[in-house]
Amino acid sequence: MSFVTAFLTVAITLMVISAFPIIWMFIKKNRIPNKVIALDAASSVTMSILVLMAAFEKSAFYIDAALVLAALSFLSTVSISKYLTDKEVF
Amino acid sequence: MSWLEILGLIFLVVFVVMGVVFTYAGLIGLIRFPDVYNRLHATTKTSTLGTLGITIGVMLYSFFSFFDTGDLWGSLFANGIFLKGFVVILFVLLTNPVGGHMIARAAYRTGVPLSPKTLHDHYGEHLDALSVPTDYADIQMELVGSLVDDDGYSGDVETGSGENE
Repeated sequence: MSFVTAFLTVAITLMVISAFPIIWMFIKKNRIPNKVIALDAASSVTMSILVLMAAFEKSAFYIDAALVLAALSFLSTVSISKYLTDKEVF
Repeated sequence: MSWLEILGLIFLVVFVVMGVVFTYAGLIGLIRFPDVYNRLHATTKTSTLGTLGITIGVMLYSFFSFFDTGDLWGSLFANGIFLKGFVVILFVLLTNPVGGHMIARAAYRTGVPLSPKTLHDHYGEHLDALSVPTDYADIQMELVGSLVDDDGYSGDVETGSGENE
């Protein structure tokens, strides 16, 4: 087990652990903007995990998944906010 | 192990540690801050910086470990991690502040109360001057089914923003 593998394993483990309080906040908080904030944070943590997995597996396809996840997260955030303010999405 | 690979390793360690530290700082802010707006302030900036740090670290590590074979073209373009990581960085830098702004705007206009410790509320004064309604609580009622306030305060808060002058 080389140094890079050990380092990336520790980093991925830390990022996975940091996802649990975000999920707890998502379940516990009642107001919609709190839930949207937790969703945004969770998607960014997942993007970080995917980018670290790309370095771990030496494969570029994980970064495609991270890019798609970023696009979906941005789209969902903007559409929920538009729905809350204007009562319509588009 | 050549010096280029060691350089890439140093970049990887420094930037990934920076990203993990920023992510945990945002997590502490998400849990500890009293308000939707404060929480947004914590998570948006730190999640941008965390994702940015981790992506830059992985990008530079893959660039230098490809460059170790003496192939500049391959390490710049044939190596997908470098280019796609660049695209991820651009996308995160463009979209994350926009998303944070949209959530804050939606939260204020749906009437999410400010923390009692708030000192100034310039956006509220601006919306009052434009006579924009800021109470759409029926959407919260319709979607979630309750208006139970989970932050420990509710309703109209005296913000002390100079109304007593």
